[in-house]
Amino acid sequence: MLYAPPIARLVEELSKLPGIGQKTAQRLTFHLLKVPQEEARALAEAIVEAREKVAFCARCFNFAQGELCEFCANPRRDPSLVCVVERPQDIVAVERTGEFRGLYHVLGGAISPIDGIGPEDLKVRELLERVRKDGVSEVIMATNPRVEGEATAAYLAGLLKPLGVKVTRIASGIPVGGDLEYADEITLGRALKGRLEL
Amino acid sequence: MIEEVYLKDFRNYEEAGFRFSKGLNAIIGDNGLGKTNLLEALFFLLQGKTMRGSEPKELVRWGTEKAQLGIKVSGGAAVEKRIEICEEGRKEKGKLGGIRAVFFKPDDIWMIKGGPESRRKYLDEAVVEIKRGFRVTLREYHRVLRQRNEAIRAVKRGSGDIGLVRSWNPLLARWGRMVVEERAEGLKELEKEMDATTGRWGVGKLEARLYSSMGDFFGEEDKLIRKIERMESAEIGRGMTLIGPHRDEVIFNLGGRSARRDCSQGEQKLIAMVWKMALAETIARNTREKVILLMDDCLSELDRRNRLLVLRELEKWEQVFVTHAEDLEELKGFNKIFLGRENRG
Ligand SMILES: [Zn+2]
Repeated sequence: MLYAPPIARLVEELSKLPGIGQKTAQRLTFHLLKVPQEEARALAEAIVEAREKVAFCARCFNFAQGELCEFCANPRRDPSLVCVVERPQDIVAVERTGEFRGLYHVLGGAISPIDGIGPEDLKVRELLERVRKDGVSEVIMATNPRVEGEATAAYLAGLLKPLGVKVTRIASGIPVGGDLEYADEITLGRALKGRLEL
Repeated sequence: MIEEVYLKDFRNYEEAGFRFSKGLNAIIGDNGLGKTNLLEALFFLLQGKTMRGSEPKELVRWGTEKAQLGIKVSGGAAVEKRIEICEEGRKEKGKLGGIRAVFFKPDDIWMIKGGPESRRKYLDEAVVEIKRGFRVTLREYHRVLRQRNEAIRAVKRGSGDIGLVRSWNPLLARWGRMVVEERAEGLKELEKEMDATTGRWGVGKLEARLYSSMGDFFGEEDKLIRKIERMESAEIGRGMTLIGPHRDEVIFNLGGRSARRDCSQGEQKLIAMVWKMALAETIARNTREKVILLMDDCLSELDRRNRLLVLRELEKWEQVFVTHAEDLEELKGFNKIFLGRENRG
């Protein structure tokens, strides 16, 4: 089907988003064409604002509005404890438990040889740097309970332990193959408290 | 039990209806008349999947748009189910509960005659059916194996990091050990049933032994990890993981003789049948569901004595389907369904 150029452009832009195929992009487009003007404008502005104002924290690579994210900028957080996660949304899951008062380190994914993702594609060098310079006493591995997350934790433990830092892994109890993001706060809280030394 | 089946434009069937009875149903007819296809229809209706994992649309009769299947099952309240298969997929109406099927096909003899990989495949397919969670264990193990193999190949190419290979070792040990343990437990359950059958037949004890490249390190993961570490240089040389359940072997012995090397074709076929019957018994016991046995061409290549052994065993089941090319004296007294030319499309 041929659409007028403004419609076709919107369909094309939407279909670039993850998980959105051609059909869904068309459905969203027709929905947006029906909403009030101000609602459409609010969405467009929210996208532009978020993209312009949010960048990555210079220390932990979480989303940040300034140079540092809300955790790294907070003097009441304990900088000697660092919790390593795969993605920024995993921080939200750990925060929900209310069990953690330290800082984070976002790797940007997990090691996966079949996908060609190695340590050089993740914030591994930066983590080692932090541990050497920032007086870190314990690194907690909270990578996802998938095999890639486990292997990443094991790999990092091998690099960190020679630096004289304590390395722990959140206890199991989170379903195998799951995402931290979807673990409930009680389970994840228990997993954090029951962490084991690697 | 299955009361009735209706087929339209399914495989070679233009349109056909069948009524079955309790106990053994013998489906008799020359090759090419659709004996196997009828069993395949029953399997598809009960299990909701094709036998060899092929696309359901391949079941549609050549030159037609869609296949229609219907089934009526009794045992408590009568239940009906209809499936329509076309290019785009399938539509289902109605649901069957508490009934499933186990299929024996002459090819199953390859679980004895074939290489270790075919025995691992049969064992895994069986354990998936009888042990909850084994599907996940197997999936996770194969993911670890693929990742580790890729890391090994990178080192072999000279572009990898040996530390990356080692970071997969604890996972290989943990998931590998779980696969081996669950396989062993499943095999033990099957062996109990197989023992009972071969005991009744007086053909000697049928043993199924699992030999694992991981050895006996159950509960001692540290030792297993050290064993894996010792394989490192050989693994990099070969570019693959050399230890784990993907290298394991199941050996069948009948009356102390190797089933693969020393047993006749007929004996091998009997062993494969005993395996499938044991699987059906175990599923029925564990799930409390009714299991229907679909035995395709199970009597050929057997002498009269062995045919009688098999039929005496099968007649104990609530409902069984047996196909054969011609009518046999031993089939006297069973419900016979003769396939004729009129069924052909
Ligand atoms: Zn930060």
